[in-house]
Amino acid sequence: LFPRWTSPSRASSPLPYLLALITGCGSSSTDDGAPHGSTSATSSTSTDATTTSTTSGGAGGAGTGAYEDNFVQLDRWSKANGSPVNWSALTAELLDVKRLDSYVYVCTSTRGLVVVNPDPLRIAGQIDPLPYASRCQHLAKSGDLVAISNRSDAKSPTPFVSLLDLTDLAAPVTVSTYVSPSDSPEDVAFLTPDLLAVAMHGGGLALMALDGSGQLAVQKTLGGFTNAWDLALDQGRLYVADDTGGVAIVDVSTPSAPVLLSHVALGGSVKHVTIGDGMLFASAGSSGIHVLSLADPDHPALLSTFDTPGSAVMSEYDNGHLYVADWNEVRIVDVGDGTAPKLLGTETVPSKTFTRVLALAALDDRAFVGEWSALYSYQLFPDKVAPDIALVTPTLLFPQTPAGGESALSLVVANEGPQPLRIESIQGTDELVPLVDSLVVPSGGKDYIEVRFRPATSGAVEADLVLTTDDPDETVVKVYASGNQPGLQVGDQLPSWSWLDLQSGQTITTSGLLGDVVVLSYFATF
Amino acid sequence: VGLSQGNAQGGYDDAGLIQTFIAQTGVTFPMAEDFGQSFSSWARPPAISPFPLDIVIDREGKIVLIAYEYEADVLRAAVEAEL
Repeated sequence: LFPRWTSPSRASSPLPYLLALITGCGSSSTDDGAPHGSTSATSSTSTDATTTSTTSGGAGGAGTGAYEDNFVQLDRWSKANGSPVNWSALTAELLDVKRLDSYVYVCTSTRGLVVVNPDPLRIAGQIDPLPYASRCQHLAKSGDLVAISNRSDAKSPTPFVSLLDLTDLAAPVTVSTYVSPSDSPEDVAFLTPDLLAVAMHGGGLALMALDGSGQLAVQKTLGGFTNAWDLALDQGRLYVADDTGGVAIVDVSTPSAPVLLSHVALGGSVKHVTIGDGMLFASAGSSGIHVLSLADPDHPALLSTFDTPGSAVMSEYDNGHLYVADWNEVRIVDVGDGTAPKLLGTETVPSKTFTRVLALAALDDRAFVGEWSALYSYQLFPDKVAPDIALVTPTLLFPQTPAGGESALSLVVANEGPQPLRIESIQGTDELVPLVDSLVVPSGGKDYIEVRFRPATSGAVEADLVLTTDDPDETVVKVYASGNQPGLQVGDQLPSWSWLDLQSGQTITTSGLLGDVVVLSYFATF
Repeated sequence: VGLSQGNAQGGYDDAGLIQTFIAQTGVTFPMAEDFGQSFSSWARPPAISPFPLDIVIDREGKIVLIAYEYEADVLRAAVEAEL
């Protein structure tokens, strides 16, 4: 889990939250004076939330339930549907998904490499454990050979690249494994059936092949990279996602003698590249997706950049559409000629815990989505139109509020579909009280639902705010709400703590941070 | 400041793994192993993911934002409001 830092290259937008601790219950108006929601608007208390809101009155015009969703779940594969293999739905963490030949190949964090029949989703084979762990970070395939990689992290500290022969899925054979504790192998790509390119982070690009004794070994390395993450091969050129260095172009027309040609500087941290229809798509986390033309393959030209609400982890292009794994949802974009990509749909993938989409594959309008705990298949119907609810504030986490007191938050709701969104009912509890009972959000718009937390006691509270909508695949949306949880809250003073900075060797103290604006970001290396 | 919880504290990482992570990601800001002194101190609803967890602190040491999910715009706005 990488710390997800914001990028200064992306335009900022106003804080969409309303957070007002109320004990006496004041009132104020919205910044544009427009009513929000269908009832109780006059009693709403607002600070800056309306900077992103839109007027909902009078929008609509289409009947409830008149639309069809354009991204429909077909199947879900996990432990539940009859697999005999060793699989924990909660800990699998799907890291790479590829649709190759007649199967879907899935790299998992704790259950090795899984080969899945696509329709319906059923396991065809599983290689677990892998030579040094069960963690498969990336994969590439050439004929019956599959190369897998694993960089070093907490769950699998031994970095390795392994070559597997999957001629017989029931009896896979490890051909050879390369291990070097000083390396961090990330993505892999076959340049030829016998020559493997490996992105090695700060170690640049490594070419590996079987040596005379049948051992996978580095044949050549190529430097000049900032931080090589991911690889995409196209017509004798290898494009390298090079982090803050942008995209590097490597001439591999003579595979054994690669030449680094140039870099294209792009905003953000580029960690994935994919290619389709003469375009390259560079996923740059919080900086979104960069679309480049490969009309001149040695000098890719930026066509456009579009942002996503999450973190653009990776993407795959198919049939004019780009499917984006955006950390906590899938986004489907109509790419067109690349100059003006248009959002076609979004999908929050179901999860047993908290949804995470880290990898996906697409072929012929069919998408295979690697959620945290399961593999899903979806069918895209590009011509169908529907409202599409998106929660800008996915949870409502109220501050400490005394018994008998009141605090307020706004649930910001967006409609990313081409038709008006009708929220037909909004239901809370005695302690979780929405101030409106319905809402209409126009296509492309946002609005908010103000919610009051009125605890009967000072104890911790959890509840769901339940919305019923005419979004065809999210007719019931439950919004998790919580209040009075113990621990440090907004407004509290930072306690006296200290840490050892592993970068500088100096001690960091919270008192020493006074005078600076500070972000504490908790992470884990997996 | 990037903070990872050490193995002995119920987390996953030790200093060596964090150093590897620094090399893999190229981050330049301070990175440290949290030995339990802070990670469990935050108000944390039980039904949400332990990561991400991002905290914004103002110049006087007061907590101005606790973000439990990836919300880049919110995080950026909170920081910029303090600058």
